[in-house]
Amino acid sequence: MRADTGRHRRRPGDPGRATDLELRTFWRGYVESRSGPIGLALLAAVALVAALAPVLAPVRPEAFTDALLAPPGPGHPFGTDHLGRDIFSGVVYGTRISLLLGVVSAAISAVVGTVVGAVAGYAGGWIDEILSRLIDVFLMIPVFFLVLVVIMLFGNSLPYVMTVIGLTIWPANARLMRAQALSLRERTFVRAAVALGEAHGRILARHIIPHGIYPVVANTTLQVAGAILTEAGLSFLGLGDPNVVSWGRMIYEGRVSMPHGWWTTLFPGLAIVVTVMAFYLIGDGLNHALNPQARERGA
Amino acid sequence: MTRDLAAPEAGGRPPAAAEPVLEIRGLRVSYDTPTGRVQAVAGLDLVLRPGDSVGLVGESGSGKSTVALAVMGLLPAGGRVDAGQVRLLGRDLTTLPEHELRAVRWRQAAMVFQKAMSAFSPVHRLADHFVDVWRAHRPERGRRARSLALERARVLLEAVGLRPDALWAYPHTLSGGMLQRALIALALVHQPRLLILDEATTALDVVTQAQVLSEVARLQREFDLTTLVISHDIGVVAALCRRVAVLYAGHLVEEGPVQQVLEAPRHPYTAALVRAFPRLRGPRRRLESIPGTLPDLTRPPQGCVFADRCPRAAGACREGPPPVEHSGGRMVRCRFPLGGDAGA
Amino acid sequence: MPHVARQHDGARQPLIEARGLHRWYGSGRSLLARRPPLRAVDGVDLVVYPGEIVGLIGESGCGKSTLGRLLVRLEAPTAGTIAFAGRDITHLRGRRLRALRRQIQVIFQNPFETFDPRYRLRQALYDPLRIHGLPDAERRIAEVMERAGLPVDQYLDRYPRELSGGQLQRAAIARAMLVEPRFVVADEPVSMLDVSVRAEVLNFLLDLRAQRQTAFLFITHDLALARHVCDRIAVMYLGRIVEEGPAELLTSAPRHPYPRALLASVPDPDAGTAASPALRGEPPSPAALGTGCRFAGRCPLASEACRRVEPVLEPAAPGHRVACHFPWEEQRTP
Repeated sequence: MRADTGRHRRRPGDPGRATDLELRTFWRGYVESRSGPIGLALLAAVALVAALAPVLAPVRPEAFTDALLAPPGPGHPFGTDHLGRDIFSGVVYGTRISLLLGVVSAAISAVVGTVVGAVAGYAGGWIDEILSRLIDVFLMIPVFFLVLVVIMLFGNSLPYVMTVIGLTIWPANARLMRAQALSLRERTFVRAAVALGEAHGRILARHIIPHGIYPVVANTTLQVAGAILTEAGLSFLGLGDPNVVSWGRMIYEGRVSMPHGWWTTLFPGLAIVVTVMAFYLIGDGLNHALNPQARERGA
Repeated sequence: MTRDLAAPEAGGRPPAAAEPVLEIRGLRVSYDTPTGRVQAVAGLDLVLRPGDSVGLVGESGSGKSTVALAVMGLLPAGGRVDAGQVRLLGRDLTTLPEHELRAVRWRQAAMVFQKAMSAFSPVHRLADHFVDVWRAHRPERGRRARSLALERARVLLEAVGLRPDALWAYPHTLSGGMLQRALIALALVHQPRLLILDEATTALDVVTQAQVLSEVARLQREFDLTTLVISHDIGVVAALCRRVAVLYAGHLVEEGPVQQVLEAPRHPYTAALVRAFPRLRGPRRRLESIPGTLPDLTRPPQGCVFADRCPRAAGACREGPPPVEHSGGRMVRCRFPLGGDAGA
Repeated sequence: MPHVARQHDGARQPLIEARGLHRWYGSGRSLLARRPPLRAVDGVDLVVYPGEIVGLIGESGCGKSTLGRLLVRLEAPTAGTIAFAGRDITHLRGRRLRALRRQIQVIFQNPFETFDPRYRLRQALYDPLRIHGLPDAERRIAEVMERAGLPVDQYLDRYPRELSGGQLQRAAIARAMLVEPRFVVADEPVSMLDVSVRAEVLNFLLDLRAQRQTAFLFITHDLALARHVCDRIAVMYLGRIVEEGPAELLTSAPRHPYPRALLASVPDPDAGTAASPALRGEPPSPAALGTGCRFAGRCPLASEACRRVEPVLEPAAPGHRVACHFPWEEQRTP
């Protein structure tokens, strides 16, 4: 109702009227990004496939049929592999594995990254020094080879793979969260909480993390895609969990038939591309929507 | 000194009854907001004759900055002039197309904002800013433009109390007071007739503010400027202006010579505003506020906009717009003004 | 306006007492160059008695806000001590420090930033009571909000963005007062508010002081405002207090040239002309202080002695201290 929107000393990006306005601007930014809504639609489709896998797939993906290396046709829309397994069923059920792995790995990364980053940025001093060094060390290690080494040493069950991926990609999130916490701790409402005698844990949980989480959310979406690719890479090298049908594993097993059965590798490959793209597009949309706000929020 | 400062085309001082520099008639400005159209300025009349200095005083939400932006044709998206005229040297700016408006800005009217730091590009020296502004409105090009611009810049910087070598400084190396001075100098490059200062000293410390105010007061004389000073601080207005206009919720409620209005305000809002200012003289006392809040400007009241907060308001005040009274060079828009024979 | 004349005799114990307080930033630990530290607060002695409002005046960058943050222990001093009710609190940490926060509260300049925009007022007001384990939350909140002119039935379920600046600042004061502190630092509490609502915020503060004998450090750049609100005033320049005394005296006839210049610079609506600038130039950087009086470079009265020897705060009269070699004398009145 105020006509003079620029009261002389009020800061721009006045957080006084945040939340739902913020939400509305966020959504508008997300929609304007174009990639965001497309990604969301793709992901919805992929998730639907995962949820309806038993309905969609004609057979269990592990089941052997009589048709060996059959090309795509009426009975087997994506054909079969050299052992007679239905590729379509494999791709459909593989959706579940890939989504599960991507989401769990990224979630682990988000939780660890957020906590480490928030503590480092908020506490400052020697705690920040130590945690920052830790983050740097992890960032310098080539993730894929670390995962490779750990899997070779300790085994390759799916939960194991998820955990190992999650625990190697968190530093990116930690860095983002630390930067947020560094600027948030200077904000008046955080100082006010300190001055009231609030415990540090609560300040982190109630003021720092809820305000600083947005870039981490955007990045975590991208990490889902990264984790799916990492797993595919591991499986392609034959290091994935042999007990589950994942897209990477299908490509790994299909590579022997590649010369005379292109369908064994093409369809799982496409599935990876579509899913990874969905998450990338969403992450891109989130970045687009959140960055102008991050600029305002700075300092 | 004055001769050196004046740009070549500035002629002699026009006679007192000359055509107004700025003439605002029935100006109405509104903004589109999520909750509806806000009436920011509701029928404003204001005339500035050559050499005039008028202070536009009001609090946040009064519409004072909107007036300045409307004059400069710089209303933000969602804002528009609904009615009225803004005549600058006889030309109505509200009907001018953008490219002609651009020619008017800087050359005939210039504005100085509060935030000097954001007005300068951080990667360019002050000199570059002066050259850019020069080129935008002059035919000269190349080296010649640069040397003419810098020549003018040196004169102006000195006039605002800066050393000419400040030209080679980057904005971030200068203090707030120096930047504000540089911004004033920049506004004067094309010798505008009208200078609008929108809270131009608000962000400065009191000592620096006093320095800048005294420099502006000198510039008003030496550059033959007509000034519109927009401020929430009646002290600043008293220092720079001969007349003051008090704005409340988009309405001009009182206007007149500064000293008279501040010493013997006639509108109850002016009186309350003046009382709310703590003074360095007189008895120490409990400070007074003005109870209540601005009316909802998406649905402006039928009667007087101040009625809800006014100690003198009666039923009649809420029914229709208050009468306007002109006497002795003063204007007051009130049914029951103070200091007149009309009691409550 | 009942300004109680206060005596500062030895009989009354100070509530808060800062001795030789320093806060330097960036102690030259840079890798490439040893830069001199920025001396934000550089040797401050300050005492506030119970129930007293002390104004801390100065321009931006003089260290007044830093001093405020030191006193409420939001920052740690580089050197010096702070005593609260006779107890040294300079190095309190952890649980003990959090317990102390009930006694010492702070009100910030920007009311739009004081509350976390994610939480309703109810939550923001309940927090301090939970933190300090105070009973009767409902009653206490209702009481203080009533006094703030923000009845709970209308305001408790609002988000901060749904309040005006004046209302928010009163809510911020209400929150600070909920835990019944004995000392409050108010850092420019009304500088962002419209003139017409400043009084209601300030009068709320003054009423609380009258009721509870709360002591305030009132940080402001506005001399005229301080005159009406404070009992005593201390003027800071580049990290040091240069003059300290009764509010009426410091806003009418201070003796140090800097507060005199400040006073002369205030645009006076009653005077009607631009104040002639009382000082030339701007303060030097607090990272580049030489020897001698730090005001000497801008002082109209500075002599050679001023540039060599830094003056210290010395009593000029009872309850009045000045740090100047050549303080202004009555007979020099024009």
